[in-house]
Amino acid sequence: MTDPGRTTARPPVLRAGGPAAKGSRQTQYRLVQIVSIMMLLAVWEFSGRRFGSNLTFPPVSSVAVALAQRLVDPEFWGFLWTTLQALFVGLGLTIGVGIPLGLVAGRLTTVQRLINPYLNFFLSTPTSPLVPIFLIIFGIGLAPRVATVFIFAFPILVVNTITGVRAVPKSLLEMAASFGVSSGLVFRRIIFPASLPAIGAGLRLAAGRAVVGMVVAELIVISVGMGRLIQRYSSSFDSPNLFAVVIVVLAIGLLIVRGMAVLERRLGQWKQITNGSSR
Amino acid sequence: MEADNERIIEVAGVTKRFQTTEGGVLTALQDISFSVRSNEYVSVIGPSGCGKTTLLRVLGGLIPTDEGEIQIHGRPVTGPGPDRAIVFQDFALLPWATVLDNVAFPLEARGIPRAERQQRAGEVIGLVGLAGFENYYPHTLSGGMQQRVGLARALAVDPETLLMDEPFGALDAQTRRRLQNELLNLWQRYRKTVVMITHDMEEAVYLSDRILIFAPRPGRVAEEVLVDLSRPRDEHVRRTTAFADLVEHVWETLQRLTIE
Ligand SMILES: Nc1ncnc2c1ncn2[C@@H]1O[C@H](COP(=O)(O)OP(=O)(O)OP(=O)(O)O)[C@@H](O)[C@H]1O
Ligand SMILES: [Mg+2]
Repeated sequence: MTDPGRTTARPPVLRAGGPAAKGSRQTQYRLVQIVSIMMLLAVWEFSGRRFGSNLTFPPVSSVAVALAQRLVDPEFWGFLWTTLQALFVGLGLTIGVGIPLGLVAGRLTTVQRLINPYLNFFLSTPTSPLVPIFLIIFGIGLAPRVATVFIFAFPILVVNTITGVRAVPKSLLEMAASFGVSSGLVFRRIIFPASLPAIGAGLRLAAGRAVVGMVVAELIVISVGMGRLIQRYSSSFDSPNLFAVVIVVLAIGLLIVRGMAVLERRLGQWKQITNGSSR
Repeated sequence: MEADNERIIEVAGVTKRFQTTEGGVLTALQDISFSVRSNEYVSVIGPSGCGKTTLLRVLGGLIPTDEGEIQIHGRPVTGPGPDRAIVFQDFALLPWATVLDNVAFPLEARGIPRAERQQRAGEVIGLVGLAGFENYYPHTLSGGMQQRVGLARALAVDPETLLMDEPFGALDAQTRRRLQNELLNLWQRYRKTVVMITHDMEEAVYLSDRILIFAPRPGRVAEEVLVDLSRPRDEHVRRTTAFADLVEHVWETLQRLTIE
């Protein structure tokens, strides 16, 4: 946006930040978290040495060594890339199809009636049994895994987007109508921004389910990527490496969901602030 | 000012019914007829639920009539038009857009290029006393300032007719009075045809040339009050006996109507 020569008044920054006191409390929380993680690691190390072994429950130090070895192993990065490919393509497809479909279905009751049974079906039934079917339909390769990620993540995003569109204030639509605003502009300037908070929540939930879909596909049926490594190390009783790979998978999930949560906060910014102020 | 006596709005026998949720029919407007001259300031006052907002939405072309017709400049109203702009009771601002973007929104809808609409929006923002707040978001403004944005947005399209639905109804008494004065000044300088819904009797007398008093169930025009206070007006007029008499007259009429 161009700055139209502001002189006196400055708009307040659009951020839900707090005063300094809040900052110091946050440092405290951080400290407590770090201490608790350290204690957990210590207990893990101790019990691994005392009761476990590298064939069963390994001490954290062995896992750390295994993790370091994997991280310098080119094969590992190739497998990781295979896994991430399915996740990113599937999630991209979810976003590219889910948001437009949700926006349309939110506006057109006919479309919503049409897709609702399917959405409810995929949201309420276990989706894992579909993976072998995808394998048969799509063959081996990227496609069945992308399909799995998609079918896990897609419904929740559509449902959330529909909810967002449905919640657009009637008064704003009437305002737009009174000024003769075209439906395209109503979509871009009102319906889309109004549904962004709900879309953000949908993205976070969809990302979590996408990670589950990714793991399920690789672990149950299509033995590639991280799933393949997990199977390899568990069948050879290589516990340190098994733990290392599982940690990597958990980290991927955590990072993606965290990233989406940040995005959600950004998308929902206007709403949080508006709710916070009284009128 | 040559057209000062021209009838710009003609409402003839307008009836509007709504389907109630219980399956009955509610007559919100019954055989309404009145006309508004060019640059006239007309207020509509009446008890809650008597169809005032419905009348405004019909005038704005947002909902169709069931019977009768509305003509503006001799053309029947079939929908919203660039000749009319509405100021909403709840402001109806886009929370995610700045003051500037809110005011420029109807201009964007008209395909006016960005630079031009921002300049035009900037002008009307200055007109309503919000210069310097262009990049603020609505939630950071007081209610009075938010309604100034609503007013600026309506003025931005330079409509011949301004339709206002209790524009100051959501504001505290002090803010309301200040905005009444500012609106009065604006109107006296720029002259528009105004139809304003209100249930503030003093506001109606202070601002209007004519007051339509509505009666409820079914909504209809019960009485017309001519406000023959000289113009330009300012705060002093509130202390005259003529002003007090008019307010009293409106009050008595409303009393009689609600007792009936
Ligand atoms: N879309 C609608 N569907 C059904 N009934 C409606 C609708 N709009 C208004 N009504 C009814 O019509 C009547 C008149 O409503 P309207 O909003 O015009 O009243 P009003 O005079 O503006 O009231 P207030 O002073 O409370 O704003 C009310 O009884 C209302 O319930
Ligand atoms: Mg009303």
